[in-house]
Amino acid sequence: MKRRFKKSCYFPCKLEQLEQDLKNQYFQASPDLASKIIHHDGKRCIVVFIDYLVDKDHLYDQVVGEIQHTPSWDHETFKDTIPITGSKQHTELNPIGDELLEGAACVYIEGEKDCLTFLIPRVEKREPDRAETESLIFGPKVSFTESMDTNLNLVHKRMDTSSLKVEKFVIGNTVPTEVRIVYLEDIANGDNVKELRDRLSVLNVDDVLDASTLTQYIEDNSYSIFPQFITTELPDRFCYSLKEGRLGVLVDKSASGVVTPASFFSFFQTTEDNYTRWNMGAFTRLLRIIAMFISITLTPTYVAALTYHYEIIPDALLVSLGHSRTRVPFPPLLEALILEFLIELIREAGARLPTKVGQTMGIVGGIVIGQAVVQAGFTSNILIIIVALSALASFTTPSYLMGSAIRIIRFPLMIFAGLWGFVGLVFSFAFIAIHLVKQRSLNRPYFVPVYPFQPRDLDNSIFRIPFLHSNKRAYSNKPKKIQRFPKPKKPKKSDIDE
Amino acid sequence: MRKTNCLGIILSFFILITSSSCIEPNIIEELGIVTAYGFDQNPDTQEIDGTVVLYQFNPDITDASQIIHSSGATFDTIRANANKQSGYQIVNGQLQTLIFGPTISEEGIFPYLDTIERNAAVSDMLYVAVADQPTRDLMSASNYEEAPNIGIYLHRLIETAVKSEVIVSSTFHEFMRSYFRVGLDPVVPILTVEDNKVEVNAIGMMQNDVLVGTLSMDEIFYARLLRDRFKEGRVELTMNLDDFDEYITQYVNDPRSEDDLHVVIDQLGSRASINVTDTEALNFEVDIKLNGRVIELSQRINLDEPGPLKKMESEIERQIEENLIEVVGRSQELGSDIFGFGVQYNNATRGQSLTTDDWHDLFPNINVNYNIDVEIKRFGIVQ
Repeated sequence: MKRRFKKSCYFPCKLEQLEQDLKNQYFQASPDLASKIIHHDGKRCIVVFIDYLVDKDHLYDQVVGEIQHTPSWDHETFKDTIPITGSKQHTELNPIGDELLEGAACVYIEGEKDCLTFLIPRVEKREPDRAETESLIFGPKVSFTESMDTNLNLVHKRMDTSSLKVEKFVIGNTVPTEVRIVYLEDIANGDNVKELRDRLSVLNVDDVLDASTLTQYIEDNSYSIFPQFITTELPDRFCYSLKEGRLGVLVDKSASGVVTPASFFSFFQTTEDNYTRWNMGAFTRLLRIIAMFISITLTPTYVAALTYHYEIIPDALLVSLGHSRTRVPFPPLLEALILEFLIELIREAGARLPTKVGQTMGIVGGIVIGQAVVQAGFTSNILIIIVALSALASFTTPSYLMGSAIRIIRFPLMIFAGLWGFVGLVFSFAFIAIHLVKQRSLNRPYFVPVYPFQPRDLDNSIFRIPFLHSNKRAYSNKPKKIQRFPKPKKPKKSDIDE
Repeated sequence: MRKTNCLGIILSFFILITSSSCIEPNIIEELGIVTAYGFDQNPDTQEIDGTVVLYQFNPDITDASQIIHSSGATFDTIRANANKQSGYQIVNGQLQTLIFGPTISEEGIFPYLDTIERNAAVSDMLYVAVADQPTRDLMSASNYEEAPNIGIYLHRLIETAVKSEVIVSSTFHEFMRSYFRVGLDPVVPILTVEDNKVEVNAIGMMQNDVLVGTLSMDEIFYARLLRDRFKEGRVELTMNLDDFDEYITQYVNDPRSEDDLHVVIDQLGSRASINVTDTEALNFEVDIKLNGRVIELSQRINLDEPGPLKKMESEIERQIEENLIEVVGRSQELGSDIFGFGVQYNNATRGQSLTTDDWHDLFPNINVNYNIDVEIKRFGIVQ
């Protein structure tokens, strides 16, 4: 809330008057508004600041210290002698209050017609640390921090090129937050940039809170369970995506960057796939996609097969399945729901608790309850294997949001499998497939390269081939420059024993 | 617009959930899953006695087997009557073996296969077999190895024999195909009980769906030679040792103890083609190409020389031809064309609509000429 003052020009005034007015009218008698009065040659000067918002070292060394050492006192001299870049002159009280909130010190010599402010904010920030949610084994492990300066610095350090373009937006009515679009001008598609720019500039909300909240405001389909923009805390992943022709969004006070447009399969990639050799990278990528299928299908298949389709169970499995089911008093659907619910409980409890307790929780939940549940005949032990396997498989997804989506989507699938058997399962899959196929991310197809089928992009998404052969950027992002480098000539072959 | 959409979604969910009770659940532990049926003609009544082998799930008993005896005029009635004796719902979806007793197989088994053909839940890959004694006795044989029940054991028994190319495969699908095909008759394995354990001891030659004769395990080789092809087959032949007199290397002055020479050939590959040379005179020509490896010789004959090798090959050819004439001759007498001569005849005489009965009349009169070419590829290094 900004106060209006009746007087068009506030100054000159008494020092005590200025302090009182600032305190009463602007800060509701805040106890944190501090001031220091300096005397010199019969003149008096006041420095006003908010205690916890200014950098104390700067304040005493460069503002107060300089004032004390300056022989002639007037605002023009102060502006020259105080070595702080962000200085402004104000004639009204109102903007001074705003400046103070941003971390400025206000300097006023009694009797002058205006007032000086020097921006010396104190910013609490942590050093870039190891990534927590997207941990890597091989490759750079540094992650974004909550400071926009640090994040931009991290990105710029990784891409020392003049074509890196940063556009600034301020979003939020109540708490204005700085948002930056980052992209490589000579690679990123112009339509994509325009689209993102439009979406950000029309966004009229009170507060963006965080990068992950911002994505929810500007996503293509906010009703979908699948995330459409990649949220990452790894600067190297962020930069890799920019080099592929995607756009990045950084939000002030948020420790994650947003990458767009994203395809469904890009949620199953890590930069680690690129750092390891191509065959391992290709293997792990395929592994994750298979794991996703396992995670989604295994429990519903169990439910469907045991409720309706005993014909399809191989006879080697039939006996052990039958034996373990005889003691279970529930139908397979209820049995599976109970166990899946249990696993979700353990996961959620483990996530909410402090790390040390969380580990104990995992052991108690996993081993003790799991064992007891089977012993008590609540579920069959084969289902325990299946549910544990599919939970495990869902955690292989590198993107936390996508992993959660996969875990949640199992529940409706299970219910349909329990109600309709494989017919229900097929219908549910068809529903998901249709949903994925018509989904967009920043107006680009989401399910690319499978639909629209883009065989040239398969090496970039589902598996990987040696870098020398994949010298093209993903077509689906429509980058301005498709070729990363010219295809190398084959070296002349020579025998090793020549 | 949005409101109707929402209503539509709610309505479709409602329909989905309420109508889900229209499909009948088959929860696994509430089912008596049948793995094998045995059918016998009841000597006193017109009805069929069925022996039904079920899975019995009980974690405390390692053996998952239950046998129910019931009777009825049709397959499905037998199942329904068996259900009267069981708290489980008896279902056929995992059926693996069908066995017909002696009387019923001589009267025709097709009526009891019909229901399986109509039921989509039953696999076409189940085996059809015939027992040489009442199936009730056969299926109460208590030694069925590590299999959960005798139905599974019977399936494994036949499958192993088929995979090792000892007998001709007779899945339900193959049985039906040869039953409906003009000029080809089905074959079935014949099971017997030895020491409380079921074993395959012959194959049965059918005329349509009626069992008319059997081929012993040694003769099956010749039926398979014409009907199927070998990839990894094996045969043992017995020759007269006098023919190889000049090639025998004596072990340390060991006198000749026997007159027979036993030769075992394995890794046997074969390719046979039946051609009609004269449709009027019913002349057939059969070309057979065989190759294999000599794995066992009962006497020491040095096959390194071209002479004994050639001699061995021509002797094998002669043996096979003799046996083929014998086997085919017997099947002609019985009127069961399990080799598929009729298929080739039907192909050669396009336009005349040959029926199965026609062919059964013609088949005993056909003349077959054999061209057999045997090649021994390897005989092992023995020195």
